Amino acid sequence: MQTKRTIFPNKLLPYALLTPQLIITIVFFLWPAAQAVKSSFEREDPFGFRTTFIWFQNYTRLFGEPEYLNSLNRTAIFAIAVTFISMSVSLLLAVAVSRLLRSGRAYTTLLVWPYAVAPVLAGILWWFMFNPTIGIVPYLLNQFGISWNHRIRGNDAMVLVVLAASWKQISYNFLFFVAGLQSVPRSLIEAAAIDGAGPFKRFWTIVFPLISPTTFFLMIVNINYAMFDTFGIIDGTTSGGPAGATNTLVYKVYADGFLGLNIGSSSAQSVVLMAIVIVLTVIQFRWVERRVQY
Amino acid sequence: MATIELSGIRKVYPGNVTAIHDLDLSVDDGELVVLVGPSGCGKSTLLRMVAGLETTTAGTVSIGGAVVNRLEPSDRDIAMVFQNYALYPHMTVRGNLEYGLKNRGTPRTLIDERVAEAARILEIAPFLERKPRQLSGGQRQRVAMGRAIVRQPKAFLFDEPLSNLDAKLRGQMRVEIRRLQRTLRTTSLYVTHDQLEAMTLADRLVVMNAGRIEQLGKPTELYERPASLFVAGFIGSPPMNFFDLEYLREKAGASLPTLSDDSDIIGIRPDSIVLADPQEPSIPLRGTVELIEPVGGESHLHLRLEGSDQLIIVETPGRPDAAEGTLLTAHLRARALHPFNRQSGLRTA
Repeated sequence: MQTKRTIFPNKLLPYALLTPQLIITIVFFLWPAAQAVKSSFEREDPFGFRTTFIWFQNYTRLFGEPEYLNSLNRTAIFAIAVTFISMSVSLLLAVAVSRLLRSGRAYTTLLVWPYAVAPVLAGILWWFMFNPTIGIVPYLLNQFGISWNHRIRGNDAMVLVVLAASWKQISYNFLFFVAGLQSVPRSLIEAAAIDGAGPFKRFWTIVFPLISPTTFFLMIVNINYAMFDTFGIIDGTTSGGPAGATNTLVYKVYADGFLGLNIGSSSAQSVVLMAIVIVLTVIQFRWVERRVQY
Repeated sequence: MATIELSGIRKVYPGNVTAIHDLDLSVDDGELVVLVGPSGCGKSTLLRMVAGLETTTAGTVSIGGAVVNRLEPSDRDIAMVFQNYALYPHMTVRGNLEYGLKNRGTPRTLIDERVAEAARILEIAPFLERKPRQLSGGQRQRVAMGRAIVRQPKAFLFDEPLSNLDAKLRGQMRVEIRRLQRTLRTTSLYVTHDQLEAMTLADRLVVMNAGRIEQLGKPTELYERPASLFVAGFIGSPPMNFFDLEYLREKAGASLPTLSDDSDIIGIRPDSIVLADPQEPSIPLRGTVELIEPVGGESHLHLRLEGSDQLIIVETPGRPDAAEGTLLTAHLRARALHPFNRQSGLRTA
């Protein structure tokens, strides 16, 4: 791709223009990250007077802790469930909208709205709906003889956070799928129709393979979202409970660091998370560019 | 092998836009009928209605004697070649050819046999394992044809299949489609906006304008005896020249043949105008040479007529002696005049 080069007459101007962005990146991203790496090798006494350098002890202890392994496990369940549910529901909605001719636009607009809701608000919203004391959903479920209490039952809590987190992400996925579906040429679908493929066969043999780059991209984005961006939703609904049933890795970083004040362990956990993000991003760029094309 | 019968076909789009007005057309078994017309004349819509990709507002479409209006495209037993080829990009050439057969539950041995046969006919055997994006435009075009012929359908529908190719390849593929259709003798409906393609391919030619058939017949018939002003102007390149009858009468004197009373506009093809006196009844017109376009074996002279400011085109063999800017006399052969009525747009004699 050929982009136009701009030549600045003043040598300092380009740097001046870059400075604000650089400052933000350094102050809010690089510096805290460096701090986290540094304090993940340290132990601080309860009063914050003394810090000792302890090499990898925080890390080794972390992977010996049953709570941490449980959290790893919970995060995996959570991320897979959220990714699967939000992607399949949004694909279904996108396919439905792409079949509408006139009202498609209105639906698209409405379906995008949840994305504009702040995560904590979304969490509170679901917390109200599923509140065992005053919520409408447990009341309705009760009518069918199903008792719901996410404050006591870990599985209920997991279902709740998965639903809330998926709901929030559906809008985003939906937009990408709608765009992906629009990029499949109509004539291909017509050719397949003439070639004797019914609507389902057309979808699975032509449309789905052709939007696979979108699907793969969304898969990585959704895993990222579920693992790192759902703090607000979890804090608003279950706060990681009950008994650590929804204590995902990200939530545990917060809980151990800010509530438990174990800065060393919390930092080590966030460094592990950083490593996971880096790996996922590398996979995304490498894989998407090379493998998923036709 | 089958006939295609269209009777009373009408297409009205939402918003009361009528694309096709009560049209009748029948394609005989093994015949290649070409639909030609300017963009927006309804030719593609008509083809898509035969394919079942568009609904028909009124009228019946029959293929092989059976009414197919309510059948899905897949149940009409037709194959279509699209303008952009519509090859499945994620499948190999073989996958593309097999897809329609597999969907219909054709046994494996028969699939292999048909694919091998199509690949041999179209000379695409070396590319069978490649993906469409690895092929050139001409090769993709062949694969698209192959996908149509492996199914051995009742009819082929071509939707401007050559318009994405460069001029040289278009010429080659045109000949190839003709040869293929002659060998297979599959009933075909072919849509194009290129009148040269239409003339050379068609057994019978249908000129469409604004959702109606202007004229239907053998290509030579349409060329020699256009039934309307529209057909006269559309078929033939360079296009026919038109004159006011009054203007010609003034110049012609006795050499103007007798014409019916309602004629008021006269057409003549560029190749019926000669520079040397033809020694037969003709109408001499004087004009200035504005432009000479040498196109190889012949040249096109653009002549600005004296006294009327009208520009006419003369097709003359070889290279004319005249230079641009010179004044010369052109002779319109009196027997090659086409009389029309301006109001109705129809031929008068």
